[in-house]
Amino acid sequence: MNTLVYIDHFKGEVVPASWEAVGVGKTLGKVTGLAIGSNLENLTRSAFEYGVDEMLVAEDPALTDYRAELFASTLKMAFTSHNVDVLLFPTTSRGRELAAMAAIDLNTGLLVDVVALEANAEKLVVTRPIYSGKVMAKVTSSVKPQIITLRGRAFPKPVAQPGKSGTVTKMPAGTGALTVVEGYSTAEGAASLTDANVIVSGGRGMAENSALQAPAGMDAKQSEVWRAKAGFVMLKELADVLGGAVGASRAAVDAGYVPYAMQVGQTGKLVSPNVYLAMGISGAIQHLAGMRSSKLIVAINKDPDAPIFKLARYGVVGDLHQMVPALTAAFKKRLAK
Amino acid sequence: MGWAALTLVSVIKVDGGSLRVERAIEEGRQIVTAKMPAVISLVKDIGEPRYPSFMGIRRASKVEIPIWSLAQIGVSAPAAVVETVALADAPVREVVCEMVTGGNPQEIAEKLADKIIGEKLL
Repeated sequence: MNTLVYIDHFKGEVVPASWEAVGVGKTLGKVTGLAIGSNLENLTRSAFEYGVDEMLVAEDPALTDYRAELFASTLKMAFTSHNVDVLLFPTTSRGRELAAMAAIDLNTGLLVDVVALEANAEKLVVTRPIYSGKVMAKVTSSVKPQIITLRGRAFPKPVAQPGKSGTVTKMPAGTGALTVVEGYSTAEGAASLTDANVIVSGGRGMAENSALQAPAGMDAKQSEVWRAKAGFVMLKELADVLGGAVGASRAAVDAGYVPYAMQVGQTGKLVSPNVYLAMGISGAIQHLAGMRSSKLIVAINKDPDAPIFKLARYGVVGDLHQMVPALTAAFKKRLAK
Repeated sequence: MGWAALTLVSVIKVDGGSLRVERAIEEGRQIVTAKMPAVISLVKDIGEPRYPSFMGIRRASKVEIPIWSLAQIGVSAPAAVVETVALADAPVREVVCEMVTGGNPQEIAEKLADKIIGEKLL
C-alpha cells in the first residue's frame, strides 16, 4: 500500500506523533511524506532518517503559519497528483482539521484517534476507543484512500538512521487564503502534554492546603484559586525535576485554577505518558478516559476510596501538599548526576 | 461555502466586518483574523454557560419540538462508507494498587521515588 503521511510541525519543530505515523506507514509499504511550511530543510532531512521513502515539500513564505484553507488546498494537490491508498495524520489540532478537510475533498470517510491497525485484503481495519475508552471499536472505511488519524504515543517511534536520504519533490503552495495569522501567545506554558514522557496532574485537591494563607482582601473563591495556583507551581517543580509536563483534571480547570489547555480527559487532552502522577484527583470517568493508557499511574489522594487508586500501580493516602515537595526532594536527590 | 474556518476558538473580537480570534493549539494560542462570514468552532475557554432563568425553564418545558424526516426537508442521507466491524471491551488493566505507607511524608516519598525509578520508565 502507498501511504501519504502528513508531517505535522510547529515552526519546523516536528510533532513526534508524525514519526510514529511514518513507522506505521512503513509496515504497510512505501511511505511518502508531506511537509508544508517554510524553512523545511532540517525537517526533510529528519523525515528520511525516520524512514520516509519520498518527500513532497511545499515551501513558501505564505505557508509559514498554519492556515487550514491554504494547507488543505496544498494537501489536496498532493493526494490528487499521487497514487495514495492510505492518508495518515497525527491526531493533533492541525492533523485532525486537515484530515477532516481531506475527507470532504475526497468525499470519503474518516477514522480518527486510532490506537491499532491491521491490514486485511488491501484494506485497513483500525481500532479506536469509544465511550471514554470503555469500548474498543474495530472500524473500516470502504472507499480509498482511507484517511486515518493516529493517537500520539500509541505506536512506536521508528529509530532514526542518520545519513539516509531520498527524493524530494517540490510542490507549489495552495491558494485561496481567507485568514491572516497575526501571531502567537504561549503564556499558557502548557508544554505539549500529548508528547510528554511524564505528566504530573493536579485536581480539585490542589486548593486544599490549609497551611497556606491567602493575602488579605480576597474573598473565599479568590483565595481558593490563589491557593490552587500555588499548588500548581509546586507540581511544576516536581514535573521539572522529572522532565515532564503539568496537566489538570476537569474539576481544576472548571474551578478556574488553570487554563483549559492543561485539561486531561475526555473533553481535554488524551495522553499516554510513561509515568502519570495524579495529585488530588479523585478519578472521574471523564478524567480516566484521557489518561488510562499511561504506562505507570501513581496517585496521591486523601480519600482512600478514590476511584483513581483502582488504576494506579502505587498509591499514597495522604496530604499531597506535604507529599509533593517531599517527592520533589527525593527525586532531585536520586536523579541528580 | 468558501468561508473561513476558525476552529478551536477561545476568544472572539468583532471589528466591523472582521473577526480576530485566538485559537487554542498544542503550542499555545494562535491569533488569527478573517473577514465575516466565517465558521467558528469553540473550546471551553470561551466562557461559562449562564444558568437558565426560572421562567426560561418553565417555558422550555412546554415548547413543542418538531421532528422532521429527511424526506420532509428534502435531503437524502448518503451511504455510509465507515463501517464498524466489531466491538470489544477495553483490555482490563491488570493492576493491583500497592499503597505506600509508613513514617512521615519524607520517608513515604523516599520509598515511592525508589519504586517509581525501579519501574525504569522515567
